[in-house]
Amino acid sequence: MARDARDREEEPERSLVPRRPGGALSDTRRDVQVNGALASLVPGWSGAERDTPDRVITAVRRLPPAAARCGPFPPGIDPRLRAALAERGVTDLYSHQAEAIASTLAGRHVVITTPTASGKTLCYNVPVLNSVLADPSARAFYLFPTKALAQDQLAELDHLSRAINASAGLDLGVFTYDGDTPQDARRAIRGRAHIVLTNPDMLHSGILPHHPRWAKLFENLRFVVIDELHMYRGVFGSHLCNVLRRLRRICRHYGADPQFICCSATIANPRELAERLTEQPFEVVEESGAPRGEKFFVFVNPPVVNAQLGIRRSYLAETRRVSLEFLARDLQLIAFAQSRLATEILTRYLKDAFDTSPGASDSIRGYRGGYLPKHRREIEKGLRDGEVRAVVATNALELGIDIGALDVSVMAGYPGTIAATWQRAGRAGRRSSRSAAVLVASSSPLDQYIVRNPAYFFGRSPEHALVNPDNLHILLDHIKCAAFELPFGADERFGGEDVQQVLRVLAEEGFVHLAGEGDRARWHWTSESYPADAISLRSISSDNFVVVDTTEGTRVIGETDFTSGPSTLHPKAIFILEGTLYQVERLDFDGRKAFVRQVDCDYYTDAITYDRVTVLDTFESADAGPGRGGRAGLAHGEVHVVSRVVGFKKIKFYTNENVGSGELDLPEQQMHTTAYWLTVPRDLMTRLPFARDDRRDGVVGLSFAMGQVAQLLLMCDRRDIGVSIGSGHVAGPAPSGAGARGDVEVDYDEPRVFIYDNYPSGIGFSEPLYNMHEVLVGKTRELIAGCPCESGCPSCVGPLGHTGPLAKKVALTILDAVTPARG
Amino acid sequence: MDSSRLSSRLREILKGGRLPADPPAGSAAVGAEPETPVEREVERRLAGREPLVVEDERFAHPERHAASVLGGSVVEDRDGAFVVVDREHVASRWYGTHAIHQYAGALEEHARGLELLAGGWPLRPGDKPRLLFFDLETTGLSGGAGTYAFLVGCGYFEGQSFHTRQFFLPDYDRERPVLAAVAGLVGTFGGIVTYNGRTFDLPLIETRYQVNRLDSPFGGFPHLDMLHPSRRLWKRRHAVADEAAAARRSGAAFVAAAEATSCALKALEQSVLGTERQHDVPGFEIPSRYFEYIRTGDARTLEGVLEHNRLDLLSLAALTSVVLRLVALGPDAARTSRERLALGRLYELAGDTGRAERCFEYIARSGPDEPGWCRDDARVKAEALRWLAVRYRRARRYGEAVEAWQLILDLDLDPSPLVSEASEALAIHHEHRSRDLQAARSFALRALEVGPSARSERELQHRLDRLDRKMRG
Repeated sequence: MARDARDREEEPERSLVPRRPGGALSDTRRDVQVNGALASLVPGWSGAERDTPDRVITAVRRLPPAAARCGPFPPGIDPRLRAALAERGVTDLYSHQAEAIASTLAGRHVVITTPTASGKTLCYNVPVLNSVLADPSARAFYLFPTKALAQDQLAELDHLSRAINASAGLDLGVFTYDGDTPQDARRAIRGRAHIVLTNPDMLHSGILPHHPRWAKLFENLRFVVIDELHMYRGVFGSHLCNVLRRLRRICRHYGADPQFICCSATIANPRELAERLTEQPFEVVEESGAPRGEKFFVFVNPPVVNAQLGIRRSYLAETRRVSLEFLARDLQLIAFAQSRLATEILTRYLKDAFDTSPGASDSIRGYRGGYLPKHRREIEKGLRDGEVRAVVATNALELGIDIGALDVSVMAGYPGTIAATWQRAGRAGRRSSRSAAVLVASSSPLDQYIVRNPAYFFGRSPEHALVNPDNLHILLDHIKCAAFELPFGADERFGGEDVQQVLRVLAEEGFVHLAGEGDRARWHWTSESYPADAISLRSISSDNFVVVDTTEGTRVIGETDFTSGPSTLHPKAIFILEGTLYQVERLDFDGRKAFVRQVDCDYYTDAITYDRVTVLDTFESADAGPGRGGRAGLAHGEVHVVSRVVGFKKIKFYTNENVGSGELDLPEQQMHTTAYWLTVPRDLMTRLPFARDDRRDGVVGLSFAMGQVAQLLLMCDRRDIGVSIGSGHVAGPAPSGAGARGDVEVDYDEPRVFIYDNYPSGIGFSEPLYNMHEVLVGKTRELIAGCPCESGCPSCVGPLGHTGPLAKKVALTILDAVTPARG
Repeated sequence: MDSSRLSSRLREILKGGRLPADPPAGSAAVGAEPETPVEREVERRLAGREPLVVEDERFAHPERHAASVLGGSVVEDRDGAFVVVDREHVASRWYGTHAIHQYAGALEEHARGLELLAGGWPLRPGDKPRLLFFDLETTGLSGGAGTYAFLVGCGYFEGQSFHTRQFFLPDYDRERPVLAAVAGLVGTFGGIVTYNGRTFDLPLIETRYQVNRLDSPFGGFPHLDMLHPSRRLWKRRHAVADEAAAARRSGAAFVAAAEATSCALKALEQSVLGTERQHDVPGFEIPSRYFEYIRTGDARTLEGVLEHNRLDLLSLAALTSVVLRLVALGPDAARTSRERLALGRLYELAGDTGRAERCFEYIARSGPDEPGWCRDDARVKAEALRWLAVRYRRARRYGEAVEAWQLILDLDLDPSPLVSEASEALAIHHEHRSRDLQAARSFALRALEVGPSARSERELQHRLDRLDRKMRG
């Protein structure tokens, strides 16, 4: 009988000093080491697949190695390009590359979704370089979601273009053009670049508004390449769609009609996303012909340490334990954490373990957004040359930054989507040796659902990426930019709303002016402002907070977007940057600055937020079906949300004990957005055989679980949606008897559970959620019913204290009552 | 979304995104907005109807109203009608310290100086290019495709008088004919002169040609941007810093101090041309005045803008004439020794070392017995002497160099790196050439006392140590 993993915890750890720092293992040795680590992690390891949902190791899957499948070079590829590719070692194409290149050459828009490291860049570099060779006036834009990725691709493309220049006697120009490009180099780049590598932000604020300077490029624009397409969902995707509307509008002005080539990680709807973003029909290439080594995928659920409260061992501590097994065997590892905070904590844990051996601590690094670029480049290089043995990262390293191939990917917490999980797992894995991916579940319901139902994860296609380019805030911003770039015709269209009506309103406010008569009438920009400057593509409001360290002098050490500012930078909050702790001494809300000072303490903080939702307009509504107790109603529509951070908890490192709390008085944040909601009728609620307080707990628990499942279904981040409870009947006058903190009195006898888009005007989650209502309710039931805790825990209806002892039972009863009886 | 709901949501977003704290439950019904003249006009244009009421005439034929208010004439073009405003400043009229015909005469006489000022101006012997003075009024300063030039101001001398021709955009759809007309006019001149045109006016108007897919007349056209020589001649960097510091100490606005010595055209009008504008429209107001006209159709507030533009053109022409004359006549024509010093540097930059040296020698001959001599003249003299001393030393004219360094010390200036440099040069001279170690030591000590730069402080310490060793040995 295999020993329980819990027994192993007390064992003394092996020497953690890598035996040969930076040294490369041979493939065979690597296979042996991966196998050894897995054998000590998985009781009774045999390499066989298994599902054991109630154990610490809940699932093991083996992804078999695959041999390369090749395809021929399509006819029509310039021999000079073939020669340059051969020089770089490319003599054959993988089947997906051949297919993508052939489709592109046939003039179709193509989206390629194959795994990490399958050679996607070749799919666009070949057609683009080929067209430049055929006609040196041809031009292309490459869009990457970050500057760092563009830099990375530049290095790759540079080798290829140099080889071509040498053999073809061409002067093929490949340049990045972004915020880091020196002013004096910009003119030269505009004149000389055949391929411009940039990001949507630069296209939006630095290129499109100055399109006359780029006239030659736009006239000859043949290709627009969009890499990491799956990144463009939610707010960023909705902005990008509008930037592309502007781009195509300018192309039309210059008589160009570029072809799109998109590359994406695996998502369920690559074609739909590509078509939605570019508003063009697409062809999909998804069968990878690239070879890969054997990979084991293991799900780990930290052991329960308190069955009554449903408390499991900390997942970060568990991640540490798993990671050390691999590190001790000299394997190179990437650990992904869910938040900046978790990244910092985990980095600290791993460093603590390594600090016992002098000089080794630099081989463990943290990596996340907010680090300075130079710092990041150093870490990436360290990973490539093996000096860095382990990196703890946020999703910042999920993208195609070149860090070489690693041996192991450990995920502390479910990344939130199936697509992101595969993407992160793909960071480990070499072409010819064994690798491992380990997912360590946190106690969040989502994580618990995934590791306890491995079939859901392994059997299901990944999620849909959603965008809402016609979000009025976003659309309006981009119509302003578009009017600045070129006057609007009186019959021109732009996006899904009536742009002529939008322009009429902009004219009232003095932004545009209609000149000319009849069909020659055009709307001209008539304002001094440069609209793109005020619009950030990464958020709906371009506001942010900067973090100022005052420990020694003053220096800016980081930033945070506006919406999460109050919850992470409130007074007394602990702010963590690469393992160093800072405490916020003062938050200058109007000046958007937080002043922090380094501290030495053993806890971090978690903010408590209250919100209140009011329905403004119902777009669609329906009966949830004839339930046993009455008819619950579901709907989606427009709502008004008021939220406020009212306090915070202090949470101890390692033990996660709550060691204190504090109250806060911060300004309210308000927005209009869209929401899905479920209303439970009064007669149903009052007929439930539970006391009033227990009924309340049941509703709170139900909403907690529904919010978790909604995240799963929507492929979104915890911060992308909000969950709130209101009352089903029309809201009375102002909240009477509300707590001093504005905690609104809710009538729990007619509760309404709101799941709203946490962005002004909504980002497109509510309608899909409304349409998925049955799945949402069904999965919520599965989650709560399947949880082994006795009376509710953080993994289903929320921790005790948040809800009462009967929360789980009541929540299930309500669900049964609102779900149509199964026949 | 239906259109009235869409409009009300958009208005709400445009009002700054601040939402009412407690919105009414359910959506508020949006009543029809009262129709303003502009909205009426929008609907009329979109429908392609003829103007019905008198009030609409202003919108339907903006060029007629603008031409009559601004005192110009309507030019009908296939691509649309626009307005041209012609004015003449007669030869005998005074502008500042001189009459128009004097500026015209000097410009004609000293045209050769263009070569020196513009660097690479294609001038053949005997060429006297006709110059077009050029200045735009725009809808903003940010640049980019959405910034328009609503007024293209052109000025030129004809005979002895100064003419301005301003092309006015009565509405945004008339840009093409205006640009075509401007190109026609520019083509009849030999070069253009602007003030800050290199970074602002020319890129902006070239963008307009590109947006309209027209050929720009400015590509490769000879161009003198007067901002650069003006800065060299009149920007007093030290003075600005000193006065700003003084202003901060006394609590006065920094801006005022900076402006007094700035090189804005308006500042030079006062300090160089000796004239001052009455009731001028401040530059920052100009775009909003045009937007106001576009919204209301009332061009009256633009009269001041056109006048502002004409004065800019006239001042630019006068300034160009003054600078060309100064460059041609050399140090004798300069009004102050600081101007002379700057002129010397201008020559030096253009590679005319002979004329530069004459400027510095002129200054070196000046002295406190001259009328109006002040401390600043002493500083200027010290800088001229330094230039000469360095030049003499390079030419191995050591005697003259020592004399120049000594003259700097004789000026008895406040401590500064320049005074220190002079003392150090004399210390070097006495150590290595005259071999008067005692004198060398006292100059080195003095150099240390009067505020040397960090680098020469270290060198001076070494020198003193060495001198002490030599004297002991």
